[in-house]
Amino acid sequence: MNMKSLLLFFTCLLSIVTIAQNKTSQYKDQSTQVNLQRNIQIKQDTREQEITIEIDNQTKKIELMIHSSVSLGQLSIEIYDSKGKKQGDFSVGNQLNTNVSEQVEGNITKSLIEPQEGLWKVKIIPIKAKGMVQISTFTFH
Amino acid sequence: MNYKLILYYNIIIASLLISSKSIGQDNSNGKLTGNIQLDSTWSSTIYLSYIRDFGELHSMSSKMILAESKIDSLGHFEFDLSYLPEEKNIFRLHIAKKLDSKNSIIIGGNHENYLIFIANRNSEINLKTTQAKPPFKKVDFGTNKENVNFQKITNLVFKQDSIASVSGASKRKFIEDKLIKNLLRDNQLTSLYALYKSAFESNYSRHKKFYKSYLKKWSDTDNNYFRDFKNKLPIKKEKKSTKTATFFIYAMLLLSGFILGKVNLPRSNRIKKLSVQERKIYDLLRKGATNKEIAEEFNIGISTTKTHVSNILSKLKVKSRKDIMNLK
Repeated sequence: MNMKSLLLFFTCLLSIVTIAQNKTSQYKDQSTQVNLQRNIQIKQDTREQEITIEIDNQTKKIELMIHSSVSLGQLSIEIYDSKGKKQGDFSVGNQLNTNVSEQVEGNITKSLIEPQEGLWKVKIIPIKAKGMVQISTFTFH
Repeated sequence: MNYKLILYYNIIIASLLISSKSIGQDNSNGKLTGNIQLDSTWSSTIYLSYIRDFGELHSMSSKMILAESKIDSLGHFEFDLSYLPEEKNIFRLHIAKKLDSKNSIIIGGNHENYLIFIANRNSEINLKTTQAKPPFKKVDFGTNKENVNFQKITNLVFKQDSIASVSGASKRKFIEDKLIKNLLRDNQLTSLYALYKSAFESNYSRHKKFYKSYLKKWSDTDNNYFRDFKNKLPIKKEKKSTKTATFFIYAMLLLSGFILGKVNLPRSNRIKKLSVQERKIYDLLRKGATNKEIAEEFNIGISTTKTHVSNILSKLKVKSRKDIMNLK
Protein backbone atom coordinates (compact mmCIF):
# COMPACT_ATOMS: atom_id res chain seq x y z
CA MET A 1 0.00 0.00 0.00
CA ASN A 2 2.81 2.31 0.96
CA MET A 3 4.75 1.34 -2.11
CA LYS A 4 1.67 2.07 -4.23
CA SER A 5 1.29 5.57 -2.75
CA LEU A 6 4.95 6.27 -3.26
CA LEU A 7 4.71 5.19 -6.91
CA LEU A 8 1.65 7.40 -7.42
CA PHE A 9 3.43 10.33 -5.84
CA PHE A 10 6.49 10.00 -8.09
CA THR A 11 4.28 9.61 -11.18
CA CYS A 12 2.50 12.84 -10.34
CA LEU A 13 5.78 14.62 -9.64
CA LEU A 14 7.23 13.43 -12.93
CA SER A 15 4.14 14.59 -14.84
CA ILE A 16 4.30 18.07 -13.25
CA VAL A 17 7.98 18.44 -14.12
CA THR A 18 7.34 17.35 -17.73
CA ILE A 19 4.44 19.81 -18.15
CA ALA A 20 6.51 22.64 -16.65
CA GLN A 21 9.41 21.86 -18.99
CA ASN A 22 7.08 21.94 -21.98
CA LYS A 23 5.70 25.29 -20.89
CA THR A 24 9.23 26.71 -20.55
CA SER A 25 10.17 25.53 -24.02
CA GLN A 26 6.96 27.11 -25.38
CA TYR A 27 8.04 30.53 -23.99
CA LYS A 28 11.52 29.96 -25.39
CA ASP A 29 9.97 29.48 -28.84
CA GLN A 30 8.41 32.96 -28.69
CA SER A 31 11.48 34.95 -29.51
CA THR A 32 11.94 38.59 -28.64
CA GLN A 33 13.95 40.62 -31.01
CA VAL A 34 14.96 44.25 -30.99
CA ASN A 35 14.81 45.05 -34.67
CA LEU A 36 15.11 48.80 -34.60
CA GLN A 37 16.77 51.29 -32.34
CA ARG A 38 17.49 54.64 -33.84
CA ASN A 39 18.66 57.93 -32.41
CA ILE A 40 18.01 61.02 -34.48
CA GLN A 41 19.54 64.37 -33.62
CA ILE A 42 17.65 67.44 -34.81
CA LYS A 43 19.64 70.64 -35.10
CA GLN A 44 17.30 73.59 -35.71
CA ASP A 45 15.76 71.64 -38.52
CA THR A 46 12.48 71.90 -40.40
CA ARG A 47 12.92 68.91 -42.74
CA GLU A 48 10.40 66.11 -42.35
CA GLN A 49 11.84 62.63 -41.87
CA GLU A 50 10.23 59.22 -42.20
CA ILE A 51 11.27 56.01 -40.48
CA THR A 52 9.76 52.75 -41.77
CA ILE A 53 9.18 49.66 -39.69
CA GLU A 54 8.58 46.39 -41.49
CA ILE A 55 6.08 44.03 -39.89
CA ASP A 56 5.74 40.49 -41.25
CA ASN A 57 2.83 38.07 -40.91
CA GLN A 58 4.68 36.10 -38.19
CA THR A 59 4.63 39.06 -35.78
CA LYS A 60 2.47 38.28 -32.77
CA LYS A 61 3.08 41.56 -30.99
CA ILE A 62 5.11 44.70 -31.40
CA GLU A 63 6.04 47.32 -28.88
CA LEU A 64 6.91 50.68 -30.32
CA MET A 65 8.52 53.23 -28.06
CA ILE A 66 9.35 56.77 -29.10
CA HIS A 67 11.09 59.19 -26.82
CA SER A 68 11.64 62.79 -27.88
CA SER A 69 13.04 65.89 -26.32
CA VAL A 70 13.33 69.43 -27.69
CA SER A 71 14.98 72.51 -26.26
CA LEU A 72 13.98 74.87 -29.10
CA GLY A 73 11.19 74.92 -31.68
CA GLN A 74 8.46 72.38 -32.14
CA LEU A 75 8.38 68.71 -32.99
CA SER A 76 5.51 66.42 -34.00
CA ILE A 77 5.60 62.66 -34.24
CA GLU A 78 2.98 60.67 -36.13
CA ILE A 79 2.63 56.89 -36.38
CA TYR A 80 0.87 55.32 -39.37
CA ASP A 81 0.01 51.66 -39.94
CA SER A 82 0.62 49.91 -43.26
CA LYS A 83 -2.81 51.03 -44.52
CA GLY A 84 -1.96 54.66 -43.86
CA LYS A 85 -4.27 55.01 -40.82
CA LYS A 86 -2.88 57.19 -38.06
CA GLN A 87 -2.27 55.06 -34.99
CA GLY A 88 -0.87 57.69 -32.68
CA ASP A 89 0.70 61.11 -32.50
CA PHE A 90 2.03 63.74 -30.17
CA SER A 91 3.79 67.07 -30.35
CA VAL A 92 6.14 68.91 -28.08
CA GLY A 93 7.58 72.37 -28.29
CA ASN A 94 8.42 75.85 -27.19
CA GLN A 95 7.07 79.10 -28.52
CA LEU A 96 8.76 79.78 -31.85
CA ASN A 97 9.25 83.51 -31.41
CA THR A 98 11.30 83.24 -28.24
CA ASN A 99 14.89 82.24 -27.80
CA VAL A 100 14.29 80.85 -24.33
CA SER A 101 15.57 77.31 -24.18
CA GLU A 102 13.31 75.01 -22.19
CA GLN A 103 13.36 71.24 -22.20
CA VAL A 104 10.07 69.68 -23.34
CA GLU A 105 9.67 65.91 -23.54
CA GLY A 106 7.22 63.62 -25.26
CA ASN A 107 7.04 59.84 -25.10
CA ILE A 108 4.69 57.36 -26.66
CA THR A 109 4.44 53.62 -26.13
CA LYS A 110 2.28 51.54 -28.43
CA SER A 111 1.76 47.89 -27.69
CA LEU A 112 0.13 46.25 -30.69
CA ILE A 113 -1.12 42.68 -30.71
CA GLU A 114 -1.09 41.02 -34.15
CA PRO A 115 -0.33 44.30 -35.91
CA GLN A 116 -1.27 45.00 -39.51
CA GLU A 117 1.32 43.41 -41.78
CA GLY A 118 3.39 45.69 -44.01
CA LEU A 119 5.36 48.90 -43.71
CA TRP A 120 4.52 51.09 -40.76
CA LYS A 121 5.77 54.67 -40.76
CA VAL A 122 6.94 57.06 -38.10
CA LYS A 123 6.90 60.65 -39.37
CA ILE A 124 9.14 63.15 -37.62
CA ILE A 125 8.02 66.72 -38.33
CA PRO A 126 10.24 69.42 -36.80
CA ILE A 127 9.68 73.19 -37.00
CA LYS A 128 12.95 74.99 -36.28
CA ALA A 129 13.50 72.30 -33.67
CA LYS A 130 16.62 71.44 -31.74
CA GLY A 131 16.50 68.12 -29.93
CA MET A 132 16.49 64.37 -30.34
CA VAL A 133 14.20 61.45 -31.16
CA GLN A 134 14.82 57.88 -30.08
CA ILE A 135 12.77 55.09 -31.66
CA SER A 136 12.82 51.50 -30.38
CA THR A 137 10.74 48.53 -31.43
CA PHE A 138 10.49 45.15 -29.77
CA THR A 139 8.99 42.42 -31.91
CA PHE A 140 7.55 39.17 -30.54
CA HIS A 141 7.25 36.27 -33.00
CA MET B 1 -42.64 112.68 8.14
CA ASN B 2 -38.94 112.92 8.94
CA TYR B 3 -38.96 109.33 10.25
CA LYS B 4 -40.53 108.21 7.01
CA LEU B 5 -37.81 109.95 5.00
CA ILE B 6 -35.07 108.40 7.14
CA LEU B 7 -36.68 104.99 6.70
CA TYR B 8 -36.83 105.38 2.89
CA TYR B 9 -33.23 106.57 2.88
CA ASN B 10 -32.13 103.56 4.93
CA ILE B 11 -34.00 101.18 2.64
CA ILE B 12 -32.34 102.69 -0.46
CA ILE B 13 -28.84 102.55 1.10
CA ALA B 14 -29.39 98.97 2.26
CA SER B 15 -30.58 97.81 -1.17
CA LEU B 16 -27.63 99.57 -2.86
CA LEU B 17 -25.22 97.90 -0.46
CA ILE B 18 -26.75 94.48 -1.12
CA SER B 19 -26.71 94.95 -4.90
CA SER B 20 -23.13 96.31 -4.95
CA LYS B 21 -22.03 93.36 -2.82
CA SER B 22 -23.65 90.90 -5.19
CA ILE B 23 -22.05 92.62 -8.20
CA GLY B 24 -18.60 92.72 -6.64
CA GLN B 25 -18.80 89.21 -5.26
CA ASP B 26 -17.59 86.39 -7.48
CA ASN B 27 -20.04 83.56 -6.98
CA SER B 28 -17.86 80.99 -8.68
CA ASN B 29 -16.37 78.48 -6.31
CA GLY B 30 -14.88 75.92 -8.67
CA LYS B 31 -12.41 73.58 -7.09
CA LEU B 32 -10.62 70.39 -8.00
CA THR B 33 -9.47 68.12 -5.22
CA GLY B 34 -7.86 64.78 -5.79
CA ASN B 35 -6.08 61.84 -4.37
CA ILE B 36 -3.46 60.00 -6.35
CA GLN B 37 -1.37 56.86 -5.74
CA LEU B 38 2.23 57.39 -6.83
CA ASP B 39 5.43 55.43 -6.45
CA SER B 40 8.77 57.05 -5.62
CA THR B 41 9.78 57.57 -9.29
CA TRP B 42 7.31 60.46 -9.67
CA SER B 43 7.91 64.00 -8.48
CA SER B 44 5.40 65.42 -6.00
CA THR B 45 4.01 68.20 -8.19
CA ILE B 46 0.91 67.97 -10.36
CA TYR B 47 0.18 70.38 -13.24
CA LEU B 48 -3.07 71.70 -14.66
CA SER B 49 -3.06 72.57 -18.37
CA TYR B 50 -5.64 74.10 -20.69
CA ILE B 51 -6.42 72.12 -23.84
CA ARG B 52 -7.46 74.75 -26.38
CA ASP B 53 -8.59 72.25 -29.03
CA PHE B 54 -8.56 68.49 -29.51
CA GLY B 55 -5.39 68.74 -31.58
CA GLU B 56 -3.65 69.64 -28.31
CA LEU B 57 -4.71 66.50 -26.44
CA HIS B 58 -1.29 64.99 -27.08
CA SER B 59 0.71 68.22 -27.13
CA MET B 60 3.03 69.50 -24.49
CA SER B 61 4.53 72.92 -23.97
CA SER B 62 5.03 75.12 -20.94
CA LYS B 63 2.58 77.73 -22.27
CA MET B 64 -0.27 75.22 -21.81
CA ILE B 65 0.29 74.94 -18.05
CA LEU B 66 -2.12 77.06 -15.99
CA ALA B 67 -1.21 76.06 -12.44
CA GLU B 68 0.69 73.58 -10.33
CA SER B 69 -0.02 72.00 -6.98
CA LYS B 70 2.00 70.00 -4.47
CA ILE B 71 0.96 66.42 -3.83
CA ASP B 72 1.23 65.75 -0.09
CA SER B 73 2.50 62.52 1.49
CA LEU B 74 -1.03 61.07 1.43
CA GLY B 75 -1.39 61.78 -2.29
CA HIS B 76 -3.76 64.72 -1.81
CA PHE B 77 -3.73 67.76 -4.12
CA GLU B 78 -5.98 70.74 -4.83
CA PHE B 79 -6.59 73.33 -7.58
CA ASP B 80 -8.69 76.49 -7.52
CA LEU B 81 -10.92 76.61 -10.62
CA SER B 82 -12.81 79.83 -9.85
CA TYR B 83 -10.80 81.85 -12.38
CA LEU B 84 -11.78 79.60 -15.30
CA PRO B 85 -14.31 80.80 -17.89
CA GLU B 86 -18.03 80.22 -17.56
CA GLU B 87 -18.08 77.90 -20.57
CA LYS B 88 -17.04 74.30 -20.19
CA ASN B 89 -13.52 73.62 -21.47
CA ILE B 90 -11.12 70.72 -21.56
CA PHE B 91 -8.19 70.49 -19.16
CA ARG B 92 -5.37 68.09 -18.46
CA LEU B 93 -3.68 67.02 -15.26
CA HIS B 94 -0.19 65.64 -15.58
CA ILE B 95 2.68 64.55 -13.40
CA ALA B 96 6.35 64.15 -14.28
CA LYS B 97 9.03 61.60 -13.49
CA LYS B 98 11.67 62.86 -11.06
CA LEU B 99 14.35 62.82 -13.75
CA ASP B 100 12.17 64.35 -16.48
CA SER B 101 11.32 67.94 -17.31
CA LYS B 102 8.02 69.18 -15.87
CA ASN B 103 6.92 69.67 -19.49
CA SER B 104 6.72 66.00 -20.34
CA ILE B 105 3.93 63.90 -21.73
CA ILE B 106 3.96 60.11 -21.68
CA ILE B 107 1.36 58.43 -23.85
CA GLY B 108 0.59 54.74 -23.36
CA GLY B 109 2.31 52.08 -21.31
CA ASN B 110 2.64 51.80 -17.55
CA HIS B 111 3.93 55.34 -17.17
CA GLU B 112 1.15 57.26 -18.93
CA ASN B 113 1.14 60.49 -16.96
CA TYR B 114 -1.99 62.49 -17.79
CA LEU B 115 -5.74 62.72 -17.32
CA ILE B 116 -8.19 64.69 -19.48
CA PHE B 117 -11.35 66.18 -17.97
CA ILE B 118 -14.05 68.86 -18.42
CA ALA B 119 -14.42 71.85 -16.10
CA ASN B 120 -15.55 75.44 -15.75
CA ARG B 121 -15.39 78.05 -12.98
CA ASN B 122 -18.24 76.38 -11.07
CA SER B 123 -17.02 72.79 -11.28
CA GLU B 124 -16.53 71.01 -8.00
CA ILE B 125 -14.55 67.94 -8.89
CA ASN B 126 -13.30 65.36 -6.46
CA LEU B 127 -11.32 62.57 -8.05
CA LYS B 128 -9.50 59.56 -6.72
CA THR B 129 -7.16 57.22 -8.54
CA THR B 130 -7.38 53.57 -7.62
CA GLN B 131 -4.38 52.16 -9.46
CA ALA B 132 -0.72 53.14 -9.33
CA LYS B 133 0.42 51.87 -12.74
CA PRO B 134 -0.38 53.81 -14.85
CA PRO B 135 -1.35 56.48 -12.31
CA PHE B 136 -4.45 57.73 -14.15
CA LYS B 137 -5.68 54.42 -15.58
CA LYS B 138 -8.53 54.01 -13.06
CA VAL B 139 -10.03 57.28 -11.88
CA ASP B 140 -13.16 57.62 -9.79
CA PHE B 141 -14.94 60.96 -10.40
CA GLY B 142 -17.68 60.23 -7.83
CA THR B 143 -20.93 61.97 -8.77
CA ASN B 144 -19.48 64.22 -11.48
CA LYS B 145 -21.47 62.63 -14.31
CA GLU B 146 -19.89 64.37 -17.30
CA ASN B 147 -16.38 63.40 -16.22
CA VAL B 148 -17.53 59.86 -15.43
CA ASN B 149 -18.69 59.68 -19.08
CA PHE B 150 -15.46 61.26 -20.27
CA GLN B 151 -13.53 58.59 -18.41
CA LYS B 152 -15.74 55.85 -19.89
CA ILE B 153 -14.70 56.96 -23.37
CA THR B 154 -11.02 56.90 -22.41
CA ASN B 155 -11.45 53.36 -21.08
CA LEU B 156 -13.36 52.24 -24.16
CA VAL B 157 -10.58 53.53 -26.40
CA PHE B 158 -8.00 51.77 -24.26
CA LYS B 159 -9.90 48.51 -24.79
CA GLN B 160 -10.05 49.19 -28.53
CA ASP B 161 -6.31 49.85 -28.66
CA SER B 162 -5.52 46.58 -26.99
CA ILE B 163 -7.52 44.49 -29.45
CA ALA B 164 -5.46 42.61 -32.03
CA SER B 165 -5.68 44.64 -35.22
CA VAL B 166 -6.17 41.66 -37.55
CA SER B 167 -8.04 38.94 -35.65
CA GLY B 168 -10.10 41.43 -33.65
CA ALA B 169 -11.24 43.52 -36.62
CA SER B 170 -14.94 42.79 -36.09
CA LYS B 171 -14.67 43.42 -32.34
CA ARG B 172 -12.93 46.72 -33.08
CA LYS B 173 -15.69 47.70 -35.50
CA PHE B 174 -18.32 46.83 -32.90
CA ILE B 175 -16.67 49.11 -30.34
CA GLU B 176 -16.28 51.91 -32.90
CA ASP B 177 -19.98 51.61 -33.81
CA LYS B 178 -20.94 51.59 -30.12
CA LEU B 179 -18.90 54.79 -29.65
CA ILE B 180 -20.61 56.45 -32.59
CA LYS B 181 -24.15 55.33 -31.63
CA ASN B 182 -23.88 56.61 -28.07
CA LEU B 183 -22.63 60.01 -29.11
CA LEU B 184 -25.79 61.89 -30.03
CA ARG B 185 -27.18 61.41 -26.52
CA ASP B 186 -24.25 63.01 -24.77
CA ASN B 187 -23.16 66.61 -24.24
CA GLN B 188 -21.12 68.27 -26.94
CA LEU B 189 -17.64 68.14 -25.40
CA THR B 190 -17.97 64.51 -24.39
CA SER B 191 -19.29 63.51 -27.80
CA LEU B 192 -16.56 65.49 -29.59
CA TYR B 193 -13.95 63.80 -27.39
CA ALA B 194 -15.38 60.42 -28.37
CA LEU B 195 -15.30 61.38 -32.05
CA TYR B 196 -11.64 62.37 -31.81
CA LYS B 197 -10.83 59.15 -30.03
CA SER B 198 -12.64 57.11 -32.70
CA ALA B 199 -10.40 58.65 -35.41
CA PHE B 200 -13.30 60.37 -37.18
CA GLU B 201 -11.17 61.47 -40.12
CA SER B 202 -10.68 57.89 -41.25
CA ASN B 203 -14.17 56.53 -40.53
CA TYR B 204 -16.06 59.51 -41.99
CA SER B 205 -16.96 57.72 -45.22
CA ARG B 206 -18.57 54.86 -43.25
CA HIS B 207 -20.74 57.15 -41.14
CA LYS B 208 -21.45 60.12 -43.47
CA LYS B 209 -25.11 60.31 -42.41
CA PHE B 210 -24.18 60.43 -38.75
CA TYR B 211 -21.69 63.28 -39.21
CA LYS B 212 -24.23 65.34 -41.15
CA SER B 213 -26.85 64.92 -38.42
CA TYR B 214 -24.22 65.63 -35.75
CA LEU B 215 -23.23 68.92 -37.41
CA LYS B 216 -26.90 69.85 -37.70
CA LYS B 217 -27.60 69.03 -34.05
CA TRP B 218 -24.85 71.35 -32.78
CA SER B 219 -25.10 74.00 -35.51
CA ASP B 220 -26.09 76.68 -32.96
CA THR B 221 -23.01 76.20 -30.79
CA ASP B 222 -19.66 77.82 -31.37
CA ASN B 223 -16.47 77.00 -29.53
CA ASN B 224 -12.83 76.15 -30.33
CA TYR B 225 -13.42 72.41 -30.11
CA PHE B 226 -16.39 72.34 -32.48
CA ARG B 227 -14.76 74.77 -34.92
CA ASP B 228 -11.61 72.64 -35.05
CA PHE B 229 -13.72 69.51 -35.59
CA LYS B 230 -15.67 71.13 -38.45
CA ASN B 231 -12.42 72.24 -40.08
CA LYS B 232 -10.97 68.75 -39.94
CA LEU B 233 -14.06 66.97 -41.18
CA PRO B 234 -13.60 65.79 -44.79
CA ILE B 235 -17.18 66.97 -45.53
CA LYS B 236 -15.86 70.50 -45.81
CA LYS B 237 -12.94 69.42 -47.96
CA GLU B 238 -15.39 67.70 -50.33
CA LYS B 239 -17.33 70.96 -50.71
CA LYS B 240 -14.08 72.87 -51.07
CA SER B 241 -12.78 70.57 -53.78
CA THR B 242 -16.05 70.95 -55.73
CA LYS B 243 -15.74 74.73 -55.42
CA THR B 244 -12.08 74.57 -56.49
CA ALA B 245 -12.99 72.48 -59.54
CA THR B 246 -15.76 74.92 -60.54
CA PHE B 247 -13.42 77.87 -60.10
CA PHE B 248 -10.72 76.12 -62.12
CA ILE B 249 -13.11 75.42 -65.02
CA TYR B 250 -14.35 79.04 -64.93
CA ALA B 251 -10.76 80.35 -64.88
CA MET B 252 -9.79 78.11 -67.80
CA LEU B 253 -12.78 79.30 -69.86
CA LEU B 254 -11.95 82.92 -69.09
CA LEU B 255 -8.30 82.43 -69.96
CA SER B 256 -9.13 80.80 -73.27
CA GLY B 257 -11.53 83.68 -73.96
CA PHE B 258 -8.72 86.16 -73.37
CA ILE B 259 -6.37 84.19 -75.60
CA LEU B 260 -8.91 84.21 -78.38
CA GLY B 261 -9.44 87.94 -77.75
CA LYS B 262 -13.16 87.46 -77.39
CA VAL B 263 -13.56 88.13 -73.69
CA ASN B 264 -12.90 91.35 -71.81
CA LEU B 265 -13.49 91.99 -68.13
CA PRO B 266 -16.94 93.56 -67.99
CA ARG B 267 -16.73 97.34 -67.81
CA SER B 268 -19.51 97.49 -65.22
CA ASN B 269 -17.32 95.50 -62.77
CA ARG B 270 -14.53 98.05 -63.03
CA ILE B 271 -16.87 101.04 -62.78
CA LYS B 272 -18.23 99.64 -59.51
CA LYS B 273 -14.90 100.54 -57.94
CA LEU B 274 -15.53 104.27 -58.58
CA SER B 275 -17.13 106.59 -56.04
CA VAL B 276 -20.39 108.46 -56.88
CA GLN B 277 -18.50 111.67 -57.75
CA GLU B 278 -15.92 109.74 -59.80
CA ARG B 279 -18.70 108.02 -61.76
CA LYS B 280 -20.16 111.41 -62.70
CA ILE B 281 -16.73 112.64 -63.79
CA TYR B 282 -16.18 109.35 -65.63
CA ASP B 283 -19.37 109.96 -67.67
CA LEU B 284 -18.03 113.35 -68.72
CA LEU B 285 -14.61 111.90 -69.53
CA ARG B 286 -16.31 109.36 -71.81
CA LYS B 287 -17.82 112.34 -73.67
CA GLY B 288 -14.34 113.88 -74.06
CA ALA B 289 -14.74 116.71 -71.51
CA THR B 290 -11.61 118.67 -70.50
CA ASN B 291 -10.49 119.27 -66.88
CA LYS B 292 -11.76 122.85 -67.07
CA GLU B 293 -15.18 121.73 -68.31
CA ILE B 294 -15.43 119.10 -65.54
CA ALA B 295 -14.37 121.67 -62.87
CA GLU B 296 -17.03 124.08 -64.06
CA GLU B 297 -19.70 121.38 -64.25
CA PHE B 298 -19.19 120.24 -60.66
CA ASN B 299 -18.11 123.60 -59.28
CA ILE B 300 -14.75 122.24 -58.07
CA GLY B 301 -11.14 123.38 -58.49
CA ILE B 302 -8.87 122.27 -61.37
CA SER B 303 -6.46 120.52 -58.96
CA THR B 304 -9.38 118.56 -57.38
CA THR B 305 -10.53 117.58 -60.87
CA LYS B 306 -7.01 116.38 -61.74
CA THR B 307 -6.92 114.26 -58.57
CA HIS B 308 -10.31 112.69 -59.45
CA VAL B 309 -9.19 111.96 -63.01
CA SER B 310 -5.96 110.39 -61.80
CA ASN B 311 -7.91 108.19 -59.32
CA ILE B 312 -10.31 107.13 -62.06
CA LEU B 313 -7.43 106.18 -64.37
CA SER B 314 -5.76 104.09 -61.68
CA LYS B 315 -9.00 102.38 -60.56
CA LEU B 316 -9.89 101.49 -64.15
CA LYS B 317 -6.29 100.42 -64.77
CA VAL B 318 -6.01 102.54 -67.94
CA LYS B 319 -3.26 104.94 -68.94
CA SER B 320 -5.05 107.86 -70.60
CA ARG B 321 -8.36 109.63 -71.17
CA LYS B 322 -8.38 108.12 -74.64
CA ASP B 323 -8.38 104.63 -73.08
CA ILE B 324 -11.45 105.62 -71.04
CA MET B 325 -13.26 106.66 -74.20
CA ASN B 326 -12.28 103.36 -75.84
CA LEU B 327 -13.51 101.21 -72.96
CA LYS B 328 -16.18 98.76 -74.11
